[in-house]
Amino acid sequence: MKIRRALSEYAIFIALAVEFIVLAIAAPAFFTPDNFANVLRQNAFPAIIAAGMTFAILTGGIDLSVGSVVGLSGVLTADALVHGYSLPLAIVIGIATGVLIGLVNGLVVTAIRVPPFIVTLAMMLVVRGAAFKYTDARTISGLPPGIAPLSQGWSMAVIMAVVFVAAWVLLMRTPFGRHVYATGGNREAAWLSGIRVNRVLVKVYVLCGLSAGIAGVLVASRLNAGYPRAGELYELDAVAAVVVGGTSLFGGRGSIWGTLAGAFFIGILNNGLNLFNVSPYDQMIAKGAVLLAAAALDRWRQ
Amino acid sequence: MTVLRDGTRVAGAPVAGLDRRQLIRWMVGRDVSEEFPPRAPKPGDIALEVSHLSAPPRFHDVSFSVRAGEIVGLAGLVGAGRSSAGLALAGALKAEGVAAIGGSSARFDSPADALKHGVAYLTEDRKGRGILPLMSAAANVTLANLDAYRAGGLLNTARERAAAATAAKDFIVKAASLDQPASTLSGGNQQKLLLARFLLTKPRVVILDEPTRGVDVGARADIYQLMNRLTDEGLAVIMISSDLTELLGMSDRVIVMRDGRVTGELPRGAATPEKVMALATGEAAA
Repeated sequence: MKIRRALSEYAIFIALAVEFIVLAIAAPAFFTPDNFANVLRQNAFPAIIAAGMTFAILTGGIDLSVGSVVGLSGVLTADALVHGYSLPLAIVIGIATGVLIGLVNGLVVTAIRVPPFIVTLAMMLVVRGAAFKYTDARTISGLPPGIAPLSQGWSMAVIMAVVFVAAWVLLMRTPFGRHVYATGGNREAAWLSGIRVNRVLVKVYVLCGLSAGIAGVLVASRLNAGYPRAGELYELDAVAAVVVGGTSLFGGRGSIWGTLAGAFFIGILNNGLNLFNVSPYDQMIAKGAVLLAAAALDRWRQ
Repeated sequence: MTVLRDGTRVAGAPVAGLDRRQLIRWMVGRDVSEEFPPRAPKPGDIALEVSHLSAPPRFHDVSFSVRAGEIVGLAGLVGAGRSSAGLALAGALKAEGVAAIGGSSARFDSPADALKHGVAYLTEDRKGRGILPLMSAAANVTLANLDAYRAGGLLNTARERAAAATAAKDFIVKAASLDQPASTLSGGNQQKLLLARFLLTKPRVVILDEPTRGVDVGARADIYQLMNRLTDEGLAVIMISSDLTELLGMSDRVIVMRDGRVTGELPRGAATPEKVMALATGEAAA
């Protein structure tokens, strides 16, 4: 029983370590600074979004709108810059877009008690549609050079680290974090224990929006453009990272470090398969298999 | 019959000729009185006054009061509206009417609100609506009181931990470790966990809904002792129980409900099983 618990709790870290060692031995191109920087750059977006998603899944919910939020937030950030707004203001606009959409998600989930899956699925369509409408389906280019450094070099790693440390503090060192676990573990019991469950849920979806907004700004920086299609399928990458990271889809169990490891497990898997020239189609199949294995593990430890 | 206690085999004996007291001694590891601990109530001021509380169709026009240091039992058949009344008092069910705590109005629209004003409700559905099965025993204990361990927005986990350990000792929670998930504890220890959780918030009134359902004899005796200690300290207790022996053994007054209405009130001395059942079923006492 104890072994089973420990094993399932640390499964993702063990898997990540094994993956790392195998690739380091088998693929000479893997263990190079250039490749590490590459892996970090590619996976910081999904990891940041997954940090927010962890909160939603811990409450037993989900946020499918985050990919679209990345698109709209990136578009609005780029548009603000093109129209001559300052960089800080443009960043605030991008992040506020995410926060606002998260707030609407949270209010709808709690006020009309529609399952988060449906609410955020609807929001995914609405927000993506808004991004296309706003840009007329065109790419906003010609951004001033100031935004590019955000997603270069170490800044992306630093931003990701800040996001994860903040998420850890919120989850493990505040009453709010405990309330998140309690809401997912047994919502009725949490409510009867004086936890204002609805407020917790609203905050959780705001956090999802916040992390997606941050990712949106970074994506705009990376692309050096506002691209209305940006972030498509990111919601699924984020969910995959959280689940592979050991957080239970049933709510109430999981960890933020598991999510970080989950995101990089998937990212390094992609990277390794690339290094071995595995076709993108086979990569998708491999990713799907990993996700299924993680979900099965979650079931097994119930 | 084989007796297990704390994961080890304690005794085995043929059922024929096995003495009940001996069996309980094996199960609990000490002598447990099957009688209720003597009560010496010293009722103080009225802690909670309920007037004309209604939540149709569950209950109608319920009025009663509880004094500090008093145990008031709510008797009745299942479905008589006792739990609903308890939930309404704790802000978990919408109701019409007036409730006053310590003289000021007590209309709560959420359990959070009720707890803030000193009314706690311990559910009858321990597994479904009580414990957080995945959380540690310690986290279960402190759940309703986390704000008390906050230092500038952050949780002081050392202080929280110490409070949980003290409370677990105070409420006689037996766990190999406070880190083990609450789901691994026995029913009795889970119930004590809930008692600790809600009593940490320092309520003035606590509503215990079936506090000993699914609880073994040892923990049952512990819970009765705790109830006496808590009322000695001035807590007002409303006990809802379908176990008539327990209700009559522990209550200073018994209020009987039938079909959502209060049908009578009996002081300790006058409350006999026959009288209570007559009021609960609406049939004249034989």
